[in-house]
Amino acid sequence: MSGPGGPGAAAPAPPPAAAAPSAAGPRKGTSLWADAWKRLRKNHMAMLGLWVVVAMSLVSALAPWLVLFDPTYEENWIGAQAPGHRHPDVLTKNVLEVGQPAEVAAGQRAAGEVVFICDETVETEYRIAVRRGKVSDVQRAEGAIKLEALDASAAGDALVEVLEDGTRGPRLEGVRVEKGAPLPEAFGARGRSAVLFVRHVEGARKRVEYRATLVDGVVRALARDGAPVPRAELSGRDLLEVSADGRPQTHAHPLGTDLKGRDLLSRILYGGRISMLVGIVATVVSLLIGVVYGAVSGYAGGRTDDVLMAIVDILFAIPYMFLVILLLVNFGRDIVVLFIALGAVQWLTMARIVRGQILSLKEKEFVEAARMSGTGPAGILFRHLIPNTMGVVVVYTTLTVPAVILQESFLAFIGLSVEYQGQSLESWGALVKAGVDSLGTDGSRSWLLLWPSFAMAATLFSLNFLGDGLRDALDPKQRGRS
Amino acid sequence: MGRYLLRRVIQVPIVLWILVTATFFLMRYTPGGPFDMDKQVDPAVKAQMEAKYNLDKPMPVQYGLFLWDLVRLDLGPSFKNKTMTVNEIIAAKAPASAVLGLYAVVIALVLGLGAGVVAGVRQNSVFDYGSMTVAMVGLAVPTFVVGPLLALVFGIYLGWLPVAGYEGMDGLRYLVLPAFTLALPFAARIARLARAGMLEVIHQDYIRTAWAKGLSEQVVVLRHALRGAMLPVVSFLGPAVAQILTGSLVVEQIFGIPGIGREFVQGATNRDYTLVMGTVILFGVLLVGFNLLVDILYGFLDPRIRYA
Amino acid sequence: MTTPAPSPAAAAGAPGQGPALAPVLAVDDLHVRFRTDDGHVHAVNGVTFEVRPGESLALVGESGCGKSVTSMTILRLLPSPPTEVPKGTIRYRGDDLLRLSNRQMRRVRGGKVAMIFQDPMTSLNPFLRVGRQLTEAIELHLGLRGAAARARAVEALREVGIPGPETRVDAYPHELSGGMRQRVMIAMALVTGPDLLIADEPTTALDVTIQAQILDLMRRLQRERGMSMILITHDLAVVAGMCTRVVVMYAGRIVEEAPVDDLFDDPRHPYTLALLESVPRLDAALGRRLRPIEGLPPKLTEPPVGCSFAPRCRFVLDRCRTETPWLEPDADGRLRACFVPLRRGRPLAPAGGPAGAGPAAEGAGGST
Repeated sequence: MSGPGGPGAAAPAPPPAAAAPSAAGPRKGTSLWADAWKRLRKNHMAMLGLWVVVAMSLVSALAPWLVLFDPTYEENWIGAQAPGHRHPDVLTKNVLEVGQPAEVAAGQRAAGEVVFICDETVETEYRIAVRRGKVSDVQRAEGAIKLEALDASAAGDALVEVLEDGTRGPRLEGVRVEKGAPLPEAFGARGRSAVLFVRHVEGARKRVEYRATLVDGVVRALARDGAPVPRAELSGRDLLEVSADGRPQTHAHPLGTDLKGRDLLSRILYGGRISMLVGIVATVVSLLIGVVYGAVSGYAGGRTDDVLMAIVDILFAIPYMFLVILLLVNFGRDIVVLFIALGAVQWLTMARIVRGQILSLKEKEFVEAARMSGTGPAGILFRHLIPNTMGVVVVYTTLTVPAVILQESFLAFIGLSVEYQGQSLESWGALVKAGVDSLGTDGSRSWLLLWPSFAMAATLFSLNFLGDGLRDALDPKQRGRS
Repeated sequence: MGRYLLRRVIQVPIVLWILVTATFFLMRYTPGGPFDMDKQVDPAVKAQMEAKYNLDKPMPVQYGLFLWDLVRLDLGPSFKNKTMTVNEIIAAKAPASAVLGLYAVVIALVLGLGAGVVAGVRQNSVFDYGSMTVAMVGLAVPTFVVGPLLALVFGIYLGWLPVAGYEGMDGLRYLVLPAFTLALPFAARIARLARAGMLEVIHQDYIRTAWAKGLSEQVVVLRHALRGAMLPVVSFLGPAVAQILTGSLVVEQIFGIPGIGREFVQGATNRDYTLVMGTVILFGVLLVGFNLLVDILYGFLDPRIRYA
Repeated sequence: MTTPAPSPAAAAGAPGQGPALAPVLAVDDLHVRFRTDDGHVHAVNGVTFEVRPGESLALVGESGCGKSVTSMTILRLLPSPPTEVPKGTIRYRGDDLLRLSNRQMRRVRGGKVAMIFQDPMTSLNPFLRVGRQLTEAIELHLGLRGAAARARAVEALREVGIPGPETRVDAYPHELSGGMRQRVMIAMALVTGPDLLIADEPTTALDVTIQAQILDLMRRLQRERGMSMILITHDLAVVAGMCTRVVVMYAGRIVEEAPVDDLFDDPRHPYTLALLESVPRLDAALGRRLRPIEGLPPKLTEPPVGCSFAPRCRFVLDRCRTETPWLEPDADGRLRACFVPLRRGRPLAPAGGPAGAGPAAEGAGGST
């Protein structure tokens, strides 16, 4: 209740309660829970935690109705894009053929007239090899034709590097790559040996307009720069603008996209579903085992109690995470296996806590009264004792959920993502892992690490604060204990 | 002390036996034998291999042989690494893990105890709130988030420390980030336990007696309060070793440290049964050993247990 | 709250005992309160008393009356939030303890003013040997070290009657019985040669037979050393043999102060009277009935208006509920805070309002 600020402020808490004899007016009949809620409301961090947890749970649970993107939907041509990226709403391949249904993004099928602005600039891909600091080989990818030089120094020409992950580097203008000469500085430091793929973009952007008239999603007429054509196949990568009935068709990725062009926000929200589901279900499993085991042990007492608690002691000493890893590796990573495995790790502490509570509760008068009135042991246990342990159980549950989420994400991080019927479910741990893997040597694309980490950390942080707050609220004497 | 310790000592072989047996049967009753993955293996070669590793014998015999090897401290040959035995692999990889773990424990104890004790003595001060919030971060944010973030900031953006690699005990620069990453959750727990212990003790009657003697705050805290406050920390130290070891699975991977943790994860995914079993047993022995050590230490700290 | 009437402490010195030696300790108009979530708890409200050289003073009252808080405040042992001392002085040989620096205060604590606490089971550090707990005080206040300090510790243990002090000095507290531990506490308090000892319920937690031994020991040591003592207790039986003067507290105030014989013979405050009637006495007439005090002490969350004891008082007058009686000498020079002139358990004739006096007199009827 206070700290010794100095010697004068030393020593034990004063007995204000004793100094103020309290029994003078009957206390208001507030229940334990109402009282605890009152105390919890004064704990700002715990309340903040509560709201964050509620918000996160809601948003995760409602993810399918909240986000526009399927978290597995890949927009390969955009690659990893920073948060806030907007681009035309198109498919990887958009096909327009007169008389056929238009294969375009959903938002454009219902329109009457769709206009695509396409970049039809000629691009040729080359492979450039560097050995001992000098360009040793220049080859056109198509047909593997060897060249002496690649000249992009003409006005409007440019070289664009295609990066490992399929995204494009910046436009490099006025460069010339020559066999036997060093790589132009514009490419940046590459070390003494390297292989790079570049696209030679010839001339200025060539904007071509495709205008399609649709009726019930079927193409009725199609024109390229005003001249009718029967069919057009437009790559998502080349489309600069799209409009449907005059409205520009774009969509945004508020938190950016990953290497495969998947929307990060959607992935985080869906990842939260997995993490929270695992956290809650495994906690419930541990709750069921732990409460029953602990209650039986505490209620039985004597030798039974000794033996049951010795078992718990022994199981405690086993490095469980290793066994869980073995289990997942050998018996598949099905989500049900994980529920059971993680629940089995967590029940031990619950059992100990509940047993301790039952031990002290069973000596209370109300238990004696119940026994006198003919209630059997099971009735006493389940109707009188266990309900009275709910305070600690609630507190411990709040602290178990984040522990389980942490463990699952840990498993996901070492490559043991959960699966459901053979399909990989990507929890927050898997997203963080993907973020680490796609960080790049220079730390660009950090959003792929930061946002999933933030979502996960905020949730765990909040759950822990809420758990701490609940403990303080339910048992003020225990304040600050771990 | 005697009875109490005896109970603990009796538990040791039981724990190890359960662990070993569970590991053995988990590995053996796995769908698909260890050589099923190499599809092109000639059945004759496969049979020969299985004979070599005793996989053709009945399960109880395998189990018996396995236990017998264990008693002789022989963890057998590695299934995947044909040139090394598990003992050799462990001998080669354990030092890096041990060095990393050691630094992590030291960092965690210094940071955790320091922050926890001061926070407990100065309850509700700015330091208390500040350090406990940091501790909460340490608890809530997993190692594999902290590690990459530290690497990103100190390794890549600031360029102060190397991001990955291991240069032995002397390559301290390489160990700073992994050791801190590994120590953080551990330091957080210690800080919270030490603070709670301090709060509990500081309100005891005997602390009031100490004040009443005219002792300075330093003496009251260090001589009278610290021991009692340390007890919960000490009982945490046993399980903490397990935490550090499991934590090292990830930290070794993030920072490219050639330790046992990495071997375990690779072994588990490659189904290198003997290697996985060997590492699990090693971890189990360490954990049990440390728990026992902690129990003894506890007895020394608390005279009431020593004589009970 | 108004200030009490001019401090009666100085005046009280004269009639009680002969020459007015400079007091060892003088507490004047002390107020202590605790800040809680539900407002302030006023634990001590204007307490004034003094302790003379070689004297042993008893501070008596029910639990929660502020006697322990007063004693802890003397040594500044209460944590600073939530404890506040808005008013008052505590002079030890002229220095106001409340104004001393922490460093100066540490020299007083344990060195000049020592304290013994109620529960010897919890008041000794379970992790340290008895000897160490003694020598740390010896080192600090007497400057002895090593073997000399240890020898002094053994001597101190012998002085309080611990058998085999040479071996017991290396014992841990849990190896000693409750009585032994309280002897250790006494040895610890007295080893530095303080001139004032504050004993806060030193025997309450002990068996009755052990209680007597401990009290004997304290009385002997106090006389031998000529030390002053404040004995805090709720047990009037303890007071009789131990103390020369008694201060009775109720709800954070002093209600009566008197030499011990006067107080037992002829209490002048209704609360003191009730207190005496609630405990068995050997010298009382046979057949006297024990009489519990009805009701409960008041809450101290707001400064009390009127006499705090009024709701439980048999002699209550109308003015008791609106006016606060201060500690003042009555017609005989006895100090009490009451409007009712009480003599041998009955109010004197009609000084008060007739409405109050009637039932009061009747109530007092069969008591003595």
